[in-house]
Amino acid sequence: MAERMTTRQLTVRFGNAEAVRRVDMEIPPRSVTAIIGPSGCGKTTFLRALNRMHDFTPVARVEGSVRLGDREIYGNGMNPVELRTRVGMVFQRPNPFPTMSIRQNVTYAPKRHGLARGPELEELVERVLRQAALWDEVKDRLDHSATSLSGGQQQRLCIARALAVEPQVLLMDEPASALDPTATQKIEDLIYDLKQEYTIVIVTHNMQQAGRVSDHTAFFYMGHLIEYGATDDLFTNPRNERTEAYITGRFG
Amino acid sequence: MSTETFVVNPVRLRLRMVRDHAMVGLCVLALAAAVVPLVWILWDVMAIGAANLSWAFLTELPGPPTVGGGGWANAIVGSAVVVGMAMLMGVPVGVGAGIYMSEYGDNVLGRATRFLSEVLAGIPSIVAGVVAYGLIVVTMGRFSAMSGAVALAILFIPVVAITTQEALRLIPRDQREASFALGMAEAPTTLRVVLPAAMGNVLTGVMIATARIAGETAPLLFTAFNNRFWMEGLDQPTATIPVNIYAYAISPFPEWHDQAWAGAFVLLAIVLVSNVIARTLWARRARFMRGE
Ligand SMILES: Nc1ncnc2c1ncn2[C@@H]1O[C@H](COP(=O)(O)OP(=O)(O)O)[C@@H](O)[C@H]1O
Ligand SMILES: [Mg+2]
Repeated sequence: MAERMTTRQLTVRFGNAEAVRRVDMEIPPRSVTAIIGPSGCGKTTFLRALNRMHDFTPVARVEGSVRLGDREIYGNGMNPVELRTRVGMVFQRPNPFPTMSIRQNVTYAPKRHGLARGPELEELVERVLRQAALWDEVKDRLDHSATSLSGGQQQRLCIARALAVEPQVLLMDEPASALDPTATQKIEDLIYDLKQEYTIVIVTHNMQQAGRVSDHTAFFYMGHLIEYGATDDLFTNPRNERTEAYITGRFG
Repeated sequence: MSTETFVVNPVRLRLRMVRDHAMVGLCVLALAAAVVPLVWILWDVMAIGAANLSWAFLTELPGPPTVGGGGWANAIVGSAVVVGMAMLMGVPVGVGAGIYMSEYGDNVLGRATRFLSEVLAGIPSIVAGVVAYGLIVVTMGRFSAMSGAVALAILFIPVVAITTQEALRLIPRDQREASFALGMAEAPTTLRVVLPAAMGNVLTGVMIATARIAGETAPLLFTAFNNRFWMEGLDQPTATIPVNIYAYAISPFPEWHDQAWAGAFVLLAIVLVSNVIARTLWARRARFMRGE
């Protein structure tokens, strides 16, 4: 189910400002790819180009190519709404739907996509909540409001909710930056488990985290992809001096 | 680190405190100027109105002028029907316009709708009556409950549209994005995520607009007009509470004055009670959304 994503000369502009510049990157399936770099270097902008979230920002312009498997996502053959069922996203701040129960947060999209109903839907709820390591904590209160959960639980619910539409790729934008260390640990364990089945791209400003969870790491600087490689290599043996300066904490 | 220390000038500090107290005093005065007359009116209506209220007033038709007695049952029903129809027309149109302005209104049509809503929300209510008179009463050749409802809907719609728009705009963008990222299109996102989250404030707008039209007299004078008997159909004239209050209050009969007070009490009570019911029903939902 996991798919490869490939970008070619990907450029994103907000008005005249280039936030992502001519990025060529290949994101392999069934692995975790971390994106690191100082704040404002274009990490979020790059990530949002991968599921066409910039469609909702009128000033944003995307150029170049992004492919999911061998399909061009900015081409005519790809409906952006359908694309987002294949490329899911978890945001920096947990954003469960406050009007819905825990269960409804999970079933909201799959129900309307016709992925499951009745008892199947119940199974789906349990399966994705287990995958998100949340089941044991919420199984007795599925009809409670999603806002009754702690921040870390809410974020895991958002992950479960994203998994419920059975995506091929999961994009995560600093998913643990608003969480305490215990909750962060849970999210990291979860990412490690999920990579068996999904292509995962995670933005993080925390280099230890990138080192712990990812197989590949991309270092962005001022919109450019400066260096990209196996995480161990990049951290122990950076080829570019700006990468080295960043990972040794000399700036950023 | 600088070694300067701040020395607070005691005279200026005193001056500032005096000014501060004076400002608070002015605010309290302004509050009193606003609240005292309001409480006074409410109290009068409650006390005098309740004293003149009777079972007959709520259940019987009006009696002959000089004899007294009888009631306003036809006007109470008439008001409920006219206001109810205005809401039936106005809620979908007003909420729909508000959704359009907030979610899809970043264009010429959106700006035009916004401008129109603001203008319409500010027109004198009698103008709404004139419009409904021209559109319906003249065409049909008679006064009717329906034309009254249209006049009230003209007043109701812009208020609901504007409050709905503002309620939706308060919903953070990340809620919409969460839904889009799950592969949901714009329409279900608006209807199932944004609107439910904004429902509390939308409801408040509807309640305020309803309270406003329930008490309107001028637009009904030459639309719904009046009727000493039960309304015989939506295409027939009907009595309503505000028009009755007006007619009875300027009449020369003291017993009619008493009934006008009772009518004002009933109007106030209906508005207050429906507000309380709506809020109570909503409170459970609001607690759920807060995670309690
Ligand atoms: N919606 C937007 N409109 C205009 N500029 C934006 C917008 N979003 C991001 N930017 C700009 O693009 C650049 C990259 O931002 P971002 O991708 O959020 O950085 P990062 O996630 O690496 O901190 C920044 O200079 C930011 O100001
Ligand atoms: Mg960011």
